[in-house]
Amino acid sequence: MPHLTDQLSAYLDGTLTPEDAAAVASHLAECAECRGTLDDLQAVRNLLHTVPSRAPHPSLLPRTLAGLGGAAHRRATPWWMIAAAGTALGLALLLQVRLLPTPHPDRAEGAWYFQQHAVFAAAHPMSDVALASYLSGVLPYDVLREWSPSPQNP
Amino acid sequence: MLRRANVANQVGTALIRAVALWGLVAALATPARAAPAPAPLLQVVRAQAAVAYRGEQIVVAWNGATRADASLVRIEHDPPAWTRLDYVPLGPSRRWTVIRSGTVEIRFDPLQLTGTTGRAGVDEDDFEAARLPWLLQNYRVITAQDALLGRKATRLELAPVAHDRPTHRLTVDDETGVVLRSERAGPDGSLGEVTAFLKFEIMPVGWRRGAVIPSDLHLTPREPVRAASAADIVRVLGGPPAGVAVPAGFHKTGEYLTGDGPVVQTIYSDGLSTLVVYERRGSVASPPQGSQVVATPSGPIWVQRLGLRTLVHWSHTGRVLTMVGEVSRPSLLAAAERTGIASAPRLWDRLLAWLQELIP
Repeated sequence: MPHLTDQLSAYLDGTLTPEDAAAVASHLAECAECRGTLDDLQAVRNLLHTVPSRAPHPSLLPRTLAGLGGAAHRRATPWWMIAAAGTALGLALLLQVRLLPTPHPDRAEGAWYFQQHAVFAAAHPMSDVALASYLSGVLPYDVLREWSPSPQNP
Repeated sequence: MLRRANVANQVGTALIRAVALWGLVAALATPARAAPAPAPLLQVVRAQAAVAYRGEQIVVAWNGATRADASLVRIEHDPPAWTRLDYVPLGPSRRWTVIRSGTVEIRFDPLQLTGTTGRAGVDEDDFEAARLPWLLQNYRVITAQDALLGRKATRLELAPVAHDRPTHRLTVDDETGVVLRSERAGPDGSLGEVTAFLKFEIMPVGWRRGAVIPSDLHLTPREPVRAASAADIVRVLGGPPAGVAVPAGFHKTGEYLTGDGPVVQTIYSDGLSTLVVYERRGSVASPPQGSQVVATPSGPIWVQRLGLRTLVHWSHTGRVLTMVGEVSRPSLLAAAERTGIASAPRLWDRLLAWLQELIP
């Protein structure tokens, strides 16, 4: 018969599901070894309950904080590293090194500008109506993008 | 006595010479008067508002030396304001239809019955009063007799005085003034755009009066273009617009805003060709996608070509400027340099632009 040692602590804590708890209880009724383990766990738990609780020493917090500060101080960047970083940044500024990514290009592609131009050119009374409409509608000479299949316009 | 007569003659001769000289100077100083407009040119301008017709046309546009896009177009026109254009592209592109009725224009896919609606064109001033003088100053007009589709026609060539913009060749129907064929060739002589009627039939005025727009269309509104007031421009740009030194012969005709966007569009015309300058705030000229950078002594300019059109993009005095026109690349680059070009953006300019883009 397999033992259920790894479930006994949870059984004591009452965190098992009703089905698992019932299974453990059924097992304990037949398994003397597991009953012994359960008794040991219960004894440890009872012992812990007998230990009085003590408030922390008043000096604990200042000492802890002082320790943290000291640790931070010990990990601080050496002065020469700061100087080197500053020098590198200064050189980058002087040499116009492109440290940053290029800003996103305009939302408009070149085609948008050409299309707008065609719209204004189409208003000219000497513009050929078929050509002007064609250019203002399909530049860059492709299918109408606004009618291309998309989630919004399938 | 004889001596007095000689003196009088000399004075008279000097006076005549002075008058002749002043006359010559005055004649030279007077601005050259543009040639009178040829009748076929005026006929073309007036035909759309007067002539009803239908036909089939082919439209071809070259995008570079190796790629051309073409479409067959069925045209119905009933003046003053009904036009229907059914495009059947040659190739994989989808069919589409344009209907203009009054000030409304709709574009839709005739198979899927979906499309867009918006205003037809943009308000324009009177061509004959405002544009024709510019056209006659900027273009040489050459006419010749011709014939097309069995009809008498006049061939008009509009050749630019400045050799940086396209030449237009129009074959105009003598009876109606409708352009039966048009060609636009670049400064190097290569064809950029061609339209030609394959069938042409004059119809009685009013023949499409009962035409209706299909009722089952699913249309979405297009972004409107509206005239910009001086206050709008100052609000959008944070000050007056930059003085852009456009190529010679172009005159400002209007200023517009697209939707509520931060771009002011200033339109120029040389009487025939259109130039658009886009202006927005900014110190870093984020280039349009597809453009290529050109390093100039003053700073970078981005350039893009599409058929007969050239785009240049640069920044100057806290403004980002884009200029598009049917003008050669050297001419637009020169115009940008005359205007002024900001040097390559410094790190903190780029940092500022980058941070601004992080803020929605």
